[in-house]
Amino acid sequence: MKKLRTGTPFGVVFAFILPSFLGFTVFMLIPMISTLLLSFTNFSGSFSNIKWIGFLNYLRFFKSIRFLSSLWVTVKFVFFSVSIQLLLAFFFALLLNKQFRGRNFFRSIIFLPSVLSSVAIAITFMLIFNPEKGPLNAFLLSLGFPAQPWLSSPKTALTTIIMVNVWQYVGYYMVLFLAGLQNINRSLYESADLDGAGPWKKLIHITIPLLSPTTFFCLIMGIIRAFKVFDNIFIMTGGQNGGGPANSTNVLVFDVYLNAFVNLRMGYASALSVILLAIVMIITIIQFQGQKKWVNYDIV
Amino acid sequence: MMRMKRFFSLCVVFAMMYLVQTAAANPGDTSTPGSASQPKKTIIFYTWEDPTMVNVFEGFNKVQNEIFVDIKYLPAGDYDAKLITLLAAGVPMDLYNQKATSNMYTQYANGYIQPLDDLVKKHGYNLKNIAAVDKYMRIDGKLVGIPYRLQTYYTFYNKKVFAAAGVPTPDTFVEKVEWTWEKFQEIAKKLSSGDGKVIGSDIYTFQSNQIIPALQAGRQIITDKGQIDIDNTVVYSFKMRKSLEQAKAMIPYMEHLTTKLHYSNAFYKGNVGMLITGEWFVGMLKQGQKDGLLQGYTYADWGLTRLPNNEKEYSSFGSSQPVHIHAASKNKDEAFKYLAWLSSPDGGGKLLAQGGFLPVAVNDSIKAIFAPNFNSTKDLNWYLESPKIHTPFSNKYGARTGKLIADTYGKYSVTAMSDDQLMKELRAGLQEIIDTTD
Repeated sequence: MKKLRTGTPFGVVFAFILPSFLGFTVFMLIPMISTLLLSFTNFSGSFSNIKWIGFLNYLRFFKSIRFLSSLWVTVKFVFFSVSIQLLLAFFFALLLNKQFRGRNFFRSIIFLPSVLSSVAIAITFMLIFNPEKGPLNAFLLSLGFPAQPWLSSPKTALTTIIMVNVWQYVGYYMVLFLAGLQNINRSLYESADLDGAGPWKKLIHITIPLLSPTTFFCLIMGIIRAFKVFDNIFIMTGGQNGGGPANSTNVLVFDVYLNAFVNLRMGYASALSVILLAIVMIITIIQFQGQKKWVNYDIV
Repeated sequence: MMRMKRFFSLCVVFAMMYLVQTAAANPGDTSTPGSASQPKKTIIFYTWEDPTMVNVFEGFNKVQNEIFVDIKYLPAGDYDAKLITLLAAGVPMDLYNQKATSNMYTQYANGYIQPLDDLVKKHGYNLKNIAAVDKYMRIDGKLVGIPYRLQTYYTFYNKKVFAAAGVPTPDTFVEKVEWTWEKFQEIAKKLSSGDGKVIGSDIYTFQSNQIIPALQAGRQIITDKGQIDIDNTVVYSFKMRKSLEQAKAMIPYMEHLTTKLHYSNAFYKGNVGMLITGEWFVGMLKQGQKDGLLQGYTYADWGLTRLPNNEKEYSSFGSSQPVHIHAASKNKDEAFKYLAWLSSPDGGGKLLAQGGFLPVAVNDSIKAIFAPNFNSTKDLNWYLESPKIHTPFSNKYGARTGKLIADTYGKYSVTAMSDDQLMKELRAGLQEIIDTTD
C-alpha cells in the first residue's frame, strides 16, 4: 500500500479524514457550488422551468434600492457591534484577569449568554423592550426618564439589535482575550515596573501589542459573525414581515431570506449570498494584508 | 448461568424492538394490519396548524371508509417557507393548503399544481360552489385550486366599549348608509381614552389590510398585465391609519410586529372597540369564549357589520385560500373527492359552519347552523350577505407587491413622509417589481 513520508499507509490517513471530508463536501462544498450555479438562473423552487440568465441577477443589485439600503444597514451593524463588543470584551478581560474573590463567578456570568439559544434571547429581549409593557421602559419611567420606542422606531431599532448582539457575544471574546492575556510573559511587566512604567504605559506598550494576535483573531471572527446576523432580527422585528421600522434593521442575510422564502426568487437570493461571501472575503483579505503592520507574533 | 443471561438479554432486546415499532406506528392508523375496516387509499394533505380547523379537516375520515386523509400540520408562522422546501424536495404529497394566495402563481409555473378542469368534469363537481371567487382561482383560464372557506372582511365591535363611550354601534351607521371611512375614524377617536387604555380600533398587519379603501376602489396595485395601478386612495389608506395610530385610536402597526401582539388577543382583552378582520374571527371568538379568554365582556357582547366604505357600491375584500392538488400526486381522483367534500355545503361546509367559519358555499342548512353563533339576525345577515369581493395581489407580482405595501406603510408610519414622497417611493418599488419579475 502507498505510504506517506511519515510511513503511515495512505488508506489509514484517508479513513481518518473521510468522515470530516464527507461532511464538508455534502454540507458545505456542494451547497456552495450549487448556490453559485443557481445565482446565474431564475430558480424559484423547481427545476422544471429553470432558465440560465447569466449575470442578470447580479446586474439587478445595482438597480435595487432595497439591496443598497440593506448593505448600508449591514455595514453600520458590523462596524458598531464589532467595535463595541471587542472594546467591552477587552475591558472585562483586563478586569477579570486580576485575582479577586468572585472572579470565576463574574467570568461565568459574562460568558453565559454566548452559550444560550439565540431564539430564546431574542424572544426574551422582545418582551423586555416592549414599548408599552416592557420592564425596561417601566424602569426608565421610574427613574424619571422618558420611555423609549426601542424596536418600534427607525432611530432606535438598529441600536437595540446591536445592544442585544453585544450582550450575547461579549463573553465569548472576553474569554479569548483572557487566554491571550495569560500568555503574556509576566517578566515583561516586572521589567517595566523596574523601569518605572505606570499602568497606562504597560497597557499601551506591552499588553496591547502582545495581545494583537488575539485581537486580530477576534476582529476576523467578529466581522464574519456580524455579517451573518439573522435570528435576532427575524424574531425581534416581526418574522417574515420584519426588517424593522422603515427597513432600519433589514440586513443582507435577512434580504436573502425574504427573497428566497417569501418572494420565491431563489436565483436572486443565491446571487445575494454570493455577493455577501465576496464582501466578507474581500474584508478578510484586506485584514490579513493589514495585519503585517500591527499584529505582533513575537514570542517573548 | 451465562446462557440464561444471554437468553434474558435477547428477550429484553426483542421486547424493546417491539415497543419501538409499536410506538412509531402512525397515530392516525387505528386499524390493525389486514383488518376488514382498513381504508383502501391514503392521501396526504399538508396544512398549517390551527386547532379550530382540526374537526373540519379530519371530518372526511369519519364519514366514509374508502379514503384516509393523512393530515400533516406545519407550524403556521413558518408555513410558507416550510411548504416551499417540501415542494422543492419532492416530499410525497397529494394536496396542500395555500396560505399566501399570491404564491400559487410561482408554484403553478414550477409545475407543482395540478389543473383541476378535467377532474371537475370527471367528478361532476358543481362550480357554483365557488362562483364568488372562481376567477381568482384560475391561472391562464385553468382552475388551479378550490377554496373551502370564503374569506371576506367585516367590522367586529365590542358593544360594551361603545356603551361605555355612549357612542352608537357601527350597524346604525350602516343602516343609514353613513358607514364611511371618515365615520370609522370619527368613531374610533370617540371610543379611545387617549392613553392607550381603551383603543377605538385595530387593523392587523396583513399586507392587504393596509390599503382597504384602495382595494374597495378597485385598485389592483399592479395589474395582471404588469402596469402600476395606484392612486390617492392608497395615500388615503396610509394617512387614515397613521392619524388613528397617532391619536392612540388604533393599535400601531409596529407594535403588532415588534411585540407579536395578535389581533385576537387584543380584542379578547375587551379594550378594543372595533376590529377589522375576516370571517374566521367568529370561530376565534367562539374558541375564545370556550377557553375563557374574553375579558370584561361575554360572547353576547360582540357584534358584526359591514366594512366602512367610501364607494357607491359596497364591496369587501379577502383572499380565499385554495387547496391545490399536487401535480405529482398518484391519487388525484381520491384527492379531488376530498377536495369536493371539503368545499361542499353538505360536507366540510357544515363542519366549518359549526365551528363558526364561513364556507365557500352556503345553503339553508348552513344558515341554520350559523344562526346560534350570532347575537342577532342582523349580524347573521351581514355575515351571509355575499357582496362583491376584491382579492388583492392576485397575480404573479402579488407576493412582492404585498410586501412592498406593508414595508412602505411601516416606513410611512414612523417617518415624516409627504404624500408626494410616498407615491414616488411606491411607484419606484412597484416598477422595480415589474422589471424584475420573470
